[in-house]
Amino acid sequence: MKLIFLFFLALFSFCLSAQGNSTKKTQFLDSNVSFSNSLRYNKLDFYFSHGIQIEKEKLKNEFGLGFGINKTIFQQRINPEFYYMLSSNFRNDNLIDFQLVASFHLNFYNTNRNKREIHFFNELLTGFKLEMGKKLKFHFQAEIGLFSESFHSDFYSKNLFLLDFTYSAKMGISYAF
Amino acid sequence: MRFRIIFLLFVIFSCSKKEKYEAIQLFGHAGNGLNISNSVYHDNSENSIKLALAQNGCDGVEVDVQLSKDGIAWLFHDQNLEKETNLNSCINSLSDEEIESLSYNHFNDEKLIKLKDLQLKGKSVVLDLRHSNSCENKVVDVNQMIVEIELFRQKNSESEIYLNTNYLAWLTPLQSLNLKLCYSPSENENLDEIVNTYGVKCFLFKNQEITKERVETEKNKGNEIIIFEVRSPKGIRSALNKYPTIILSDDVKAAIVEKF
Repeated sequence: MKLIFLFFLALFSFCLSAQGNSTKKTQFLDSNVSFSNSLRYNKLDFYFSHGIQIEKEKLKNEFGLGFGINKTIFQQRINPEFYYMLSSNFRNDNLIDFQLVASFHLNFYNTNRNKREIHFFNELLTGFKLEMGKKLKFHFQAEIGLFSESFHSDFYSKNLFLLDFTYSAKMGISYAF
Repeated sequence: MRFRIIFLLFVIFSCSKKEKYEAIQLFGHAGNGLNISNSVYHDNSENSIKLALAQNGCDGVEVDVQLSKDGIAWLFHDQNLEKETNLNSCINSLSDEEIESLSYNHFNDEKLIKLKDLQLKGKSVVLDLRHSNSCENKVVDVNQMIVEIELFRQKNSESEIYLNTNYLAWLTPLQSLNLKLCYSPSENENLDEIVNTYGVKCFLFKNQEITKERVETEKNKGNEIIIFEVRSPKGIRSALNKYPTIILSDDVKAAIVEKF
């Protein structure tokens, strides 16, 4: 049942993208705009997210919003994720696009339903991204970087901050308008 | 419109109320979890224990206790040190000075810690007492273990201390400490006989080795049941639904999310 919900949610986002296809302009302030849906895996969870990418010359800025699948669906705890990604074309032969990527991710969830006990997770990552296709693009991205977790501990009566190394693998599709 | 309704249902579903598990205590297994790939700290290390205790909703930790050649209690899980420290030896065969020079094979380069250095500040602990020196094929001196536990108790007088062993011969001497004494039974061992002979009222089981009905039966007899090898959210849910006394979780945060 939970997988069916996930399937429909994914379908919902695809529909939104398709709807946008007929109404959005192809250029925004002299930039190319594309929308993406992606699935990312890191040491915490799988994340499903929607992104908007604005490309100007060789630089691409992408902002996105998603959620942790295991936490949100299987553990019934809403776990939103926000990200910003900056990428630069390293090699582009019109069909395969190789980019260097730097990204920042923020996600959080409340561990206790009855009171506010929020854990915040940040990731600062760098790696590469491969895009294949022209208007409809398939992309794969691999990154490594730093990971932090912060939360308030009642036991120690202070905010705790943990730092660790992390990794991330992401794949998805995007459509350029 | 249909998809928006489905999305709303999804959100509402995410907020549905869970069963009540207030009576079940959550402990971190070997600190903040044993053999967890995404763990920031090594199991049984000071930081790992502190992190588990720091998390709101975690009631305590389980740690593994072994005696050095000098008779001091150290926290370490495996029988042999090789996998975790690159030294092919056992805690029981090394002096304190030699153990102090060791570090875990972990990017944080953490040191092994002594039991007496563990500060619980009122939270509970399960001390898993290791009786065997596998390098020398000997049984560890239980009287020295009792001395070390007594020292630890004096420093953590506000904490509830559970002692666990899987060695029947240690049950009688350990009773002199007057702490909660637990036993890890092997398969098909008769618990009633152990209760009657040794007065033990607490038992440890792997999650997959005990059913909800068995937990209920044992609790009705007045026994406390501790479940371990609880790792994934699915495993945690399965353990919670058996309503044991304590769950030793390898993923403390996931266990807190499932409980609350």
